[in-house]
Amino acid sequence: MKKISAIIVALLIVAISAVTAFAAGINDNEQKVLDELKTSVEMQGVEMNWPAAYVNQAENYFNTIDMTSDQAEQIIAVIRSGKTQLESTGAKNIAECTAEQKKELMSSLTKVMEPVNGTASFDNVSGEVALKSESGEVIFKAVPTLVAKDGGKSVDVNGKTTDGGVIKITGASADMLSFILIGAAAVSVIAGGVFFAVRKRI
Amino acid sequence: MSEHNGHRHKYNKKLGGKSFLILPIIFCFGILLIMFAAVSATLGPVGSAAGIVFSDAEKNYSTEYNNIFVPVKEDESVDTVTGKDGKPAIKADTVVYPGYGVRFGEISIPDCKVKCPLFMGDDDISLKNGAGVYYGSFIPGYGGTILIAGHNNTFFNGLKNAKAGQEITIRTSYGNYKYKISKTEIKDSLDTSAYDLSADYENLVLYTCYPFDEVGLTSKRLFVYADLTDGIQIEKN
Repeated sequence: MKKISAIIVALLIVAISAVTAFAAGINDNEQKVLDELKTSVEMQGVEMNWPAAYVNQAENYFNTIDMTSDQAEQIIAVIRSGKTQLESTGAKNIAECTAEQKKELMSSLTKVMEPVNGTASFDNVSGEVALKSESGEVIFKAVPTLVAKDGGKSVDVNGKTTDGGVIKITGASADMLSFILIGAAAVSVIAGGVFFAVRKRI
Repeated sequence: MSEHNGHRHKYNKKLGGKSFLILPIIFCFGILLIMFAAVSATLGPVGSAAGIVFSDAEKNYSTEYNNIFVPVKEDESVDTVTGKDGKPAIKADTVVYPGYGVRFGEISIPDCKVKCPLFMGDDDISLKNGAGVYYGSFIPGYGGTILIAGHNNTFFNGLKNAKAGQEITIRTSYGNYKYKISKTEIKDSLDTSAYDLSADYENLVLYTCYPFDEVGLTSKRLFVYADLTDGIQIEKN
């Protein structure tokens, strides 16, 4: 869990301290961080990695900033330290973390974001963790999970099978909540009408 | 029996014509609410499109999101260098890389009557206003997987007509890209074999919810796969 926090914190440090440049391109410093993010960690004897989608998000963000050598070294050190800590927890994946550990993770994220007025949030519905800069720009957004090197299904923090939040709901049901609310209101109105009719024996 | 009838008659008399007025109003109101919920998602984009066509005012895309899309004309040239593979590549420092939630292009599939704004990121605002590139995939020209989502009742409704051989065009501020559809497949939304986000070659994957007439949660998605046929890659360091 601490490694998870460390890696996310590392991404945050990049987001907070790097200077926005907007020109595409990954410099040597950024490449070193990406390489470090791609290395695996052994969890209960199984080689585990961040899903490619997570590393890609970092790469996309790095394409909008310009990282210095000092920043890269600081981040890589945090990632390596986190790896050691995570391997000693004995957890198989993030879903195995206790509720207390999950709270610790969110608490750590929130504290890290406070000095820069950034935010860390967890969406109970989607199960996604979202990290945003002070301006509200999304830095990282995904369902926290690790994947085995040889692939296979992953589970989210609630133990449900997940793809890490890659595929979205893209149908009419995307607005299901409002549909349900309005539908419920309509049914209530009609039911009220029927009740009125019965009461008055129309 | 007669007493009961008399009682009933008494109530009707008391209400007068009200019962014939109130109940139809309640019923119509309820039906209107249901109809609104059913068609608002479809009529919204139509209304927006009509507004664009009939309005003389300048287009304003800045109300909900940032827009950096300035189309490159078909005959317009871009600054290129020689890439690692010996082919021309767009100079990286001339490309304004889009941040999350930024509109940076336009996607069109003429055979499917699909044409809409393209965003970096696939959050609600992006999908309400067009199609969105998953932030864990890459932009056109980057040389990786481009995973794009769109709603099946609005901008990607036309994907139901997608067939192998049809052409997809993506226009951006740094170049235009053409892809040819290779196949379509229906897969479970959690099927991670539907895409490869670690691919080191450019491939386009579009998807939307399936079936198209389903109202409610559906676990299936229609995936449309396409290969790059034309477009200059972005320089990589």
